[in-house]
Amino acid sequence: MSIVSSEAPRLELRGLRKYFPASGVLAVADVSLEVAVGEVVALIGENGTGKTTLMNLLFGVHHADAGEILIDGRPVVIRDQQDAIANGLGMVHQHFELVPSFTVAQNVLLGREPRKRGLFDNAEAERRVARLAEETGLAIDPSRRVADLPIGTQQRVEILKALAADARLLILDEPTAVLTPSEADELVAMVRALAATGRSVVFISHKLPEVQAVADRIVVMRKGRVVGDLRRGNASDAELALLMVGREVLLVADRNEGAAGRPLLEVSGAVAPPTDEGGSGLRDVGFTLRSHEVLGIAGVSGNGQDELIEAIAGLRPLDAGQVSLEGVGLTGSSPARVRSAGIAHIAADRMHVGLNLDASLEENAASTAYRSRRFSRWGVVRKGLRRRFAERLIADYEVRGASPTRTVGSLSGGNLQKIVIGRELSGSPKVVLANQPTRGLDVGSIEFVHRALSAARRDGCGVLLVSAELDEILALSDRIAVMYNGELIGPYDRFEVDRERLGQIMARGKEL
Amino acid sequence: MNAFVDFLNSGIRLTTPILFAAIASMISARAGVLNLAIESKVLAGAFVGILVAAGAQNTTVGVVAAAGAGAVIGLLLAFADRLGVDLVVLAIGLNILVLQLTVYLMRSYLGGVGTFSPDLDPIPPIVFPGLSELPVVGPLLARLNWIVYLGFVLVVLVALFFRTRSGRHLIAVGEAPIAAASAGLPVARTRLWALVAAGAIAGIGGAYLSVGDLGLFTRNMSGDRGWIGITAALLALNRPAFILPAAGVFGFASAASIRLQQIDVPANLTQFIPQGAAFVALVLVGIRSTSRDDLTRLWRNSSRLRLRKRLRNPPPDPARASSAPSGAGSQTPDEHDRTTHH
Repeated sequence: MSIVSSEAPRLELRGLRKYFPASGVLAVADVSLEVAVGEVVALIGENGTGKTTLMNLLFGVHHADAGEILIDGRPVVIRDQQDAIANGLGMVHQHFELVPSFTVAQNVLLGREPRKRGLFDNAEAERRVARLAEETGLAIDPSRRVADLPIGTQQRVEILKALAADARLLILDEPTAVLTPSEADELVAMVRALAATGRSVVFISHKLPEVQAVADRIVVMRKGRVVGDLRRGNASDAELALLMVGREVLLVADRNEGAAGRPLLEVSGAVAPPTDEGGSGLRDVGFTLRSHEVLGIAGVSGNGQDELIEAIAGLRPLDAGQVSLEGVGLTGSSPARVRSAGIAHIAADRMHVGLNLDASLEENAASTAYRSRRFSRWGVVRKGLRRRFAERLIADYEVRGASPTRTVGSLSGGNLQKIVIGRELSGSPKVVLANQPTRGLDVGSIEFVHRALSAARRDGCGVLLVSAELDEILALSDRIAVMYNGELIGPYDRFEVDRERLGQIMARGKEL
Repeated sequence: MNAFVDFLNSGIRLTTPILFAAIASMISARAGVLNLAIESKVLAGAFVGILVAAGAQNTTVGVVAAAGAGAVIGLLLAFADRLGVDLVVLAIGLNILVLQLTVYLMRSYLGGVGTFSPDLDPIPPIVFPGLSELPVVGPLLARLNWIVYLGFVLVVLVALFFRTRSGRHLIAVGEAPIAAASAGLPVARTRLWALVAAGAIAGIGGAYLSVGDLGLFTRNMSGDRGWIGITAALLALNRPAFILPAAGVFGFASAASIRLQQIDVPANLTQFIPQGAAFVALVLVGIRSTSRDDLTRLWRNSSRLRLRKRLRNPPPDPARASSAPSGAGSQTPDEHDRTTHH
């Protein structure tokens, strides 16, 4: 595809509006938007501002109440996804739509397979995909089975699939939410390369740094409207955050100073095998976490952070080493015992580990403390107490759209995390294990989580914070350690290290 | 020597209906449906087949009618699938219904519950001039009629079909309905054709029992062959390459059990052999974690039996698929399709 210098924008939206009568939500109030040929437009906004609904309008999942969609200057009617694809739109969802047992080539050409003598021509399919991959700079081995590929590569398959369908406008919905930092960097480079071939890209995100890196233009949505449309470089992160939230946001959480207190959690000589997902295990990890302290664990995901947190939480046995809380040994204890000793655990995977999405909010809120006197007597659940606790949690943590008896599966990520944090901080824990507590959250929810963790620290907790976001670590931590290939480097005092120095340690496991 | 050749011959004949049932189960499974109604399709095929064959005095017409009977049950399943009926529950009901329906019809119209033996010659074996007179080959091929050979041909045809574009689409629909739908494949229609084809094939397997082998019908003639076929398909990992050996395991287990009865091994022990083989096969399937996952996925696709309700907002797809591809792993929860429901 060559760079077409047409007057008309690739995509133009005029006054789109969508109201959901059932829920009474005006998801898209009045959106007009243009995307030029070869342009990368980032669409940002908090959760629930209508970004996804807008894209669903483009893909015929919903139908607009008012407004027009123009592609290359022509008004189009999009009834379903096939119409959208026929009009040159391609979408890469957060949840990949791939056939796991098929190869890359078989997935990319699903529905348009080449044939030879009536049979599927696998060799030809692989040749075509290899050619497409080369043209677009998305390096991939077409003969690999998709199930064997890492997430970042699977995403590449999705992008190739859209390109094979001749997509001239590619929509990426939260594409980096599932990626490791290095994969995300690669994605940004790929998107820029695609734009250079004349394809337009809409990049939905709420991570400001990557948006600044990838986009030519940044469109900010709030409450179903476009509230900002800025060229790259014309807005700082703080200004964008202000536009998104509509008020000043604390991008740097307040770290009230004060000396760390007595030692709480002590880990020494911890050795563990890697996780199934291919982590790096633990190699002789040891540290002490004190009260009134946030110990930040930085590092690229998969360097042993999950193993460390799970080992402390009692979810994973250690091959060697000791864990103790205030001098009481907890090595090899069950999760229930670890919790009753006073260790709370904000799990990285709130969808599967942190919460039961099929259970009601009150059941989730009480799920870690059923055995305590707070929620049961003589082994019988005290439903009134549980209900009152859930109601207070909803009020205190501003869990929007929730009721105690409804299942939590329909809530957004930020609200789910509020339930987890509300539950974990409620039993006055001594130590909080926070594993990626803000992953996938919007700016407002991130701020909320940061404030909650700071408050726990103020109240005397020791917080062990694992995060792949270096800025988060730097903003919240009193001391910072880095995990690299299963080893813990540091901890350093917060003022001994800066971004650059930590980045070096994260990348190489040592300083230059 | 002679006894061994006889054993092989009877093993092949006993394998045939199981093979048809297994192919039917494999096609359904590959389309993403846990088809537990195969037993009823086999039985319906056996019953309708012999009735029509006796009426028309033509075995071929009977076999075609049997295929039609099975296809109708397949159509019923496909229709129920679209309505969102629980296919597992429906299949159990169908199995009971067809059995009792044949008993009722036999008692009311065919003069007895036990056996219906019309004036009909079973399908004659295919005689290969030259081969049939040979010492070992002759007895080996004795009493094998065209349905037996059709079974072998069908295995090859299905294997080839899975390499065609339509076959690839069927597999995609079964494994990742959302991906298939977003690629523009007709998910519901593909499932419908798969279930109809599976029904017809299972029906022919039933016709082999009545029209093909014996020329009579007995109560519950299918005798768990549908279930054993499902087991065989599981053992074959739903792959055409393994389907014949897997069905053969059960066919020859039955042959062995008959043979052992003739040499005074207690019947209650020998009759256990086929079921014992099925048990071992299921244990093997259960040990292999990917087969277990496949089975779980089929169950999720086909049944609504859960302890709890599922997510309130399932992904918007026409085929009510249960989950995104497993490779995608745990997703960050986000506004994806949740925004509008607050």
